[in-house]
Amino acid sequence: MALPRVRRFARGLTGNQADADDLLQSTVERVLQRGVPEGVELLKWMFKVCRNLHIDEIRSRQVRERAAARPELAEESVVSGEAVAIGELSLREVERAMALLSEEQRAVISLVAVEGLSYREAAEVMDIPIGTVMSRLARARATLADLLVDEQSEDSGTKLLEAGND
Amino acid sequence: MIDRNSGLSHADAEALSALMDGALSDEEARSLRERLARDPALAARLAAFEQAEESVRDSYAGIVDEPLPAAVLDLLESDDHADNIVPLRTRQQLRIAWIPSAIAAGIALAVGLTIGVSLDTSTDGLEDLDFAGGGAIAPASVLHEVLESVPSGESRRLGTELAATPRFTFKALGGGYCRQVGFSSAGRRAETLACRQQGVWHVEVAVFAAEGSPPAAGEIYRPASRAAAPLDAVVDALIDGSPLGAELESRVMESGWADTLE
Repeated sequence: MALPRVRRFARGLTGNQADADDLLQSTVERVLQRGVPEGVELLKWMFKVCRNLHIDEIRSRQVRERAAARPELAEESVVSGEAVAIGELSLREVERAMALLSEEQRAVISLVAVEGLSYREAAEVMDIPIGTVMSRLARARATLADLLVDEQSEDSGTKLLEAGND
Repeated sequence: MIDRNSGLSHADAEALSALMDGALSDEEARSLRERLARDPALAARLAAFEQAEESVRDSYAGIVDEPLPAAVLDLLESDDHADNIVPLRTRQQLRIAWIPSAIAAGIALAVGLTIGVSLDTSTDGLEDLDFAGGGAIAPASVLHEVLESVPSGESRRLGTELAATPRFTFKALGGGYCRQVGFSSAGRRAETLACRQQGVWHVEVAVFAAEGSPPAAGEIYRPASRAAAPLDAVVDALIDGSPLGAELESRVMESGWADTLE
């Protein structure tokens, strides 16, 4: 069960299946080459390897950050008003909102909200203090709520999903 | 600035977020709930956080059921890394780790799990099979003896009700041996896969199956003859060649489970 979850984590980080599968493959290769440290749970270790490889890739190619700023994301609404109204969003719609988060926020929301890790576990995977996990999580949740939820608000002109609403 | 809708401070957003994860102290949670009761905007914000979270979780839920890419499965099958420092266990864990959740739903425990010492003496029910430990099958236990020396097909009692029956033995990819062992007690059954490393047996996978009754929570029901079906995927992932025949199995046991027989 670990590999499908690592794949899902990779999907959360990269935002698309092709990049996620490349990242999964690199992760499996790395773990096969170097093994898992004694006493460390395979799944958590793979999350960590996966995230570190993803950061390495971002640093060396600077590809993902540009992807997050793709112009079509700013031009179109993130989700349709109808989907928001019935509370059913497709993965594609959610991924477009996720793409607007920072890499750190995507990682922390994937680990805690999707994979169900505790703050401590997420902090260990990401090598950051628990306080930083909590802070990033709050920012990620606030941004996702702005993008994905049709809240009643007089300030809705700034919301990306406004175009699709009545 | 964090909250375009309600102008909430980041501290408030963090508190709501921590509340969702049950990460506040009792006192903090009580105080925040009192504020939520008085402040509709704050309550609406919490609802928005939770709704967004549910959308994210639901959207990603299906990904774990999608088949893994062939390139990754090929990696698991290839022996390119067989000579290096990676322990057998990592390879086995990785092979087991790709089992789709549809199969894993029937697998009570997946990787690196153990049977507690309770098997040493009077174990009666399947519920006494404590797979949730953290080590291996105790070398002093009856079950260790069963795995070491009882030929496949023969049963041994572990308690007044509980009996263990080794089904078959095979050589694992990367070395070492594994055995599938069935347990039965009062009409209920469990099938497990145990692998031997450095003289110690580890239970890799356990599947519980009820006979003639609807499945309880966490169980899958299968006709008796197919109770072990979810294990097959794991066996397929681990097995090197075919199961050992009775004669070879007996020689392997006599050799003390030597990897290569003289």
